[in-house]
Amino acid sequence: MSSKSNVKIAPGAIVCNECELKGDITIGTKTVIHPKAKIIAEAGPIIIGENNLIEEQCAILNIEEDEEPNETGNVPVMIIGNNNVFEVGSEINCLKIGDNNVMEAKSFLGKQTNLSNGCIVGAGCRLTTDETVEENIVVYGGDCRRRKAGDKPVPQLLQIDFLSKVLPNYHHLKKSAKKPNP
Amino acid sequence: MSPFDKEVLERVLYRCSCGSKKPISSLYFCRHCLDLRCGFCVSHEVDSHYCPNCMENMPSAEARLKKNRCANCFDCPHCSHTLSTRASSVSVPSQEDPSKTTAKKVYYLACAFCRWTSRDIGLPDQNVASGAWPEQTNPFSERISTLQEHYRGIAQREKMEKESRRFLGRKLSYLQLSDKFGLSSVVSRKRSGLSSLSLGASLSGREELGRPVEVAPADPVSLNEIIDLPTELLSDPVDLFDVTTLDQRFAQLDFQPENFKNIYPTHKHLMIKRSQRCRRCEHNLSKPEYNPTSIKFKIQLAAYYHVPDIILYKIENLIQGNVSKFIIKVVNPTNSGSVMEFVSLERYKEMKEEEERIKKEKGETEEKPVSAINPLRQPSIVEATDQSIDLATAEVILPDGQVYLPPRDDAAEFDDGGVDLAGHVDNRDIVVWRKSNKVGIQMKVKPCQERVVVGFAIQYQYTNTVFALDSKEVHTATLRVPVFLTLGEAK
Repeated sequence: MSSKSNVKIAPGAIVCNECELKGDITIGTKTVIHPKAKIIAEAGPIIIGENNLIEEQCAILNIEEDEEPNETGNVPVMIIGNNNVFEVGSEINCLKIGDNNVMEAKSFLGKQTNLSNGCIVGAGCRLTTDETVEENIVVYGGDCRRRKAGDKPVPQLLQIDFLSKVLPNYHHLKKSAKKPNP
Repeated sequence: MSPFDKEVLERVLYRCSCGSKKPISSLYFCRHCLDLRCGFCVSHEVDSHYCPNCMENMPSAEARLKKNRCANCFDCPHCSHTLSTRASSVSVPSQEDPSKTTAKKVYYLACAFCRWTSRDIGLPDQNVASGAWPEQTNPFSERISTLQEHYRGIAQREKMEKESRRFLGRKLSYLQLSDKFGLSSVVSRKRSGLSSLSLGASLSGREELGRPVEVAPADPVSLNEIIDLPTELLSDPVDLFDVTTLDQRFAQLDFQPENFKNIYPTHKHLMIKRSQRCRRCEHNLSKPEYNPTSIKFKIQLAAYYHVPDIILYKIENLIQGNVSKFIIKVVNPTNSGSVMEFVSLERYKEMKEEEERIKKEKGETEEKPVSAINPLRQPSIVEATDQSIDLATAEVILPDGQVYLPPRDDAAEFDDGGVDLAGHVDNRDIVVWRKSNKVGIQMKVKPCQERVVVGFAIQYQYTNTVFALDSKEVHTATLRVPVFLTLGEAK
């Protein structure tokens, strides 16, 4: 279990110092990671795309489960796409998340539930089924009812712009990797 | 275990005057009858209508016209949550210079719970926040209104005939004319001599009755013309996300849409504020304020504020066959001191029968209650079967003697002087502790069955301070209420 942190932050991404980053993590440009977010890449690397919004107390975990040790030797890579929003307190364990998804507050994704594009997982909903959720599906309610939305949710560009300007005023940021000069 | 759970609430039950057992929070206390009333012993009346979202008051006539729906607020057709209006900016070529584009705010309806939007059904975004959202029109509304007019005319004619037969010089009460099809306004106009509004013709005198509007019956549709169901229904795969559930369909009875493509948001239902009235003496027991945003009451005669509240304080281990002690906390909510005594249920029954005997001897007949407000209405009094015989399962050893309950004094928490007992002496065996208007009283129980329920009657004094404002007398009455405590399980 390597505790060496190998974090590649693209220029333009806003990553606060107080967030917990462990393992091999790649963060795309214009992604905002709030303080107290937790990204743990123990079992394998995590690749996060662009324009994502990861709020406080959020946990993005790629950790090994003790029951089944990885026999094949394949390292599970967690890939998160672009324009996703992970609201406060959400927990993501799955390996594949597409674009334009919204994980509302305190939602939970198990290791086998993968999201495609445009899905909205409602507040408090726990999804642990072994499936890939179809596009534009809204999961809501205490009993995780589902509904097909007309189109994908609105990308939070305005919020990301605002945070990019305001967060550096109040928090220390992690340094992003410098672009290699030709 | 929240304090509003049924098990916690029903640990201490009071017997209402009708016989049903309720916790003290569900009971009212009628100051004139000096008796407890539960939800079945009161008549519930509608006070006012209001929208739960925008808190707008609506007079009852207007509410009836709008079918008890709010004009501004909508419900999501999918999850029946309240829809909120969201704004988004759209670039539109400005009016002055067609080449430049300015941002204009457009509004759409969105549900915060299931994320349904008005764009899902294709409703165009509105330019105004209050938005004149297009509504579906019922294709049968015209036919229904002509039928209603027709029947209204017939009912009016029948009423006139009935009235002319019954009218023998006696004064007829307005209240007897029922409001069938909205007739009472028509009749009262006729009585007051104003010209009649209906049917276009002005009626003079009683002889000429209006002719009902001739309504042609609807055209029957021949069976041959009915188109068969499209065969695609049998072969096409069903997209379950598109089909509405029965609950969603029944929320819109006019149209009952089958799929989500043409489902429209419904207007929000209005809620009512209700006032409650004792059925025997017709006095108001609970009357809320008119303002929808206010939770206070103009009149609030809840039992919690007038009857001593009994709370289970401490219970020793319950063992079947053995005597265990338990402590109850009695709280006096009134502003005057009270002397409390505990009476066993058998003695309570004896006392009640004796009182009734004395009343009969005195000659007070049991009158059928007549409503003071409306002499023609006879309120129905509820009398539940007396189930208190089987409810108590354990023997209780009640303390002898009286206990003084001090009045409620809001300034007492700042005064460390100790409790003023007004001359009464405490029996140390009974009274375990005291704190301003609260007393801890010790009792003993001998469980006979596994589930230990104890029953007894409390006798206390109630001082009516505001009863007779003109005479300024203070009436003190002795009241008795049976109480049932569920102590728990005995081993």
